[in-house]
Amino acid sequence: MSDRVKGISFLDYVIKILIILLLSGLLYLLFLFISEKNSKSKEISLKDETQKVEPKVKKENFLPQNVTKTEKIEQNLKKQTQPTKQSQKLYTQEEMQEIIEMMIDQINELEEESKSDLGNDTKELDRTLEEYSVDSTQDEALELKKDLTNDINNTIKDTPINKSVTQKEVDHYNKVVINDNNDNYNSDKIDNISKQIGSIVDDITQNRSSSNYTKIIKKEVVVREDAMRIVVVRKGDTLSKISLRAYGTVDGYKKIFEANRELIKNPNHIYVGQRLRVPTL
Amino acid sequence: MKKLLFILIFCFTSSIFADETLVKISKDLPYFYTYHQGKKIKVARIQDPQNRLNDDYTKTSRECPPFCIHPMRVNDKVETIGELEFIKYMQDKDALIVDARLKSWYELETIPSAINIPYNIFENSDQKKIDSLLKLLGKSNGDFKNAKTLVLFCNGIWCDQSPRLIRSLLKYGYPPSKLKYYRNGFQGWKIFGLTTVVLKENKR
Repeated sequence: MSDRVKGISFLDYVIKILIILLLSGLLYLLFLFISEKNSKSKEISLKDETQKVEPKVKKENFLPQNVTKTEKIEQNLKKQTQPTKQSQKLYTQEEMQEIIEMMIDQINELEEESKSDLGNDTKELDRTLEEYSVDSTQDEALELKKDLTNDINNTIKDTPINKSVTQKEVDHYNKVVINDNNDNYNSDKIDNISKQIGSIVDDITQNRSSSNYTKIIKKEVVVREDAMRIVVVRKGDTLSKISLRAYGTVDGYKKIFEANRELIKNPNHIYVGQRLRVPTL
Repeated sequence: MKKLLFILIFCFTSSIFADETLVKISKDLPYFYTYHQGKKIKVARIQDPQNRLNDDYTKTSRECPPFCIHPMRVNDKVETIGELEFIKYMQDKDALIVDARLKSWYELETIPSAINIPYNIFENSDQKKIDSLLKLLGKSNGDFKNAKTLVLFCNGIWCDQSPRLIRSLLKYGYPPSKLKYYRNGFQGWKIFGLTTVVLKENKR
């Protein structure tokens, strides 16, 4: 009896151990499963975070499209260099430059997009053009308009969005254009003072005749307005072509030459991108 | 994951690189911010060391008189200041930057944060208007104690517009200690390639 009992108990013992092993195996599998789930949910939550981050970055105007491109660059880099962990973190100067160039390209694209939004500016340009191109035909006026848009785009580059990354394209004007229809208008004390003074000034200048000095100063303003008119030289331009664009006749090239003596040593040699004064005829 | 982190770090560092200014205003001041007609404006210098002026602020000669070379001081008691002092006053709440040129000049192009008081405002107006102007500048009960410090400029060394305004302000009792004369004026500002503002709507 006792032997039998012992035998049964032995069998039972073995079975118990087997069951425990099975259970522990199952537990282990469960544990693995749960831990995987956790890691996945972590990734998901991280993805959510990045989605939250992206719109913020969109305002800064340079990240979202770059992400994909920089990723591509990274992949290229991996192919070139062995995919050790260190190579991921280190870039050589050339690679950095490549990336920065790509970013600048994209910023330029964005700028072009923003140009299309500037309908108001072009309207105002048209107005100014009407004053400038009294003698010239419509086609010439259109070409002049291109030049003027170049000028104004240069001034527009001052907007804080574009300022931070445009390292290579230096702004040569450094002028900020202020619209009265500014949306982000915060009138402060100084602004109020200047407005009230402005109204007093308007009253006076309308009513009274001016002194000799004032008359001369007013003439000098006209000189200044003239000097502010600048044409950017394009590919294939000559002084006579610019004169044709600006005045409607070829004869004005002498005047342009004289107004830019220190810039043009030889009237047959002007450079693309050169900024020339164009005084009124 | 690591990729994303890396990209974020990269963008951050590259933005720092991009912000580095080559041509600073002074050793410790690369640029600063100010307001003009409610718009926030970054005042910095043109970042191209090869850049040259191309407009009439490169002119060497104008008829004298009236465009003569001006003495260092308008008046013994009125301080003459340079660019860095001028910039300090731009950030001073008790000071007003005053463009003393005619309105047409002011609208063409001016220094950020400047208000316009044309020099001929005293020559051409009656007592009522002068009183209201001085009140706006901080005169109360015949007392200039709380009056603003006025920092005046015009086109530069050859320009008589701000000296004229200073003289007439002194005539009406403005304390000379509260008047500052920026002699280099707008031409000086332009020569250093500093940011200017254009009132576009009035541009003709």
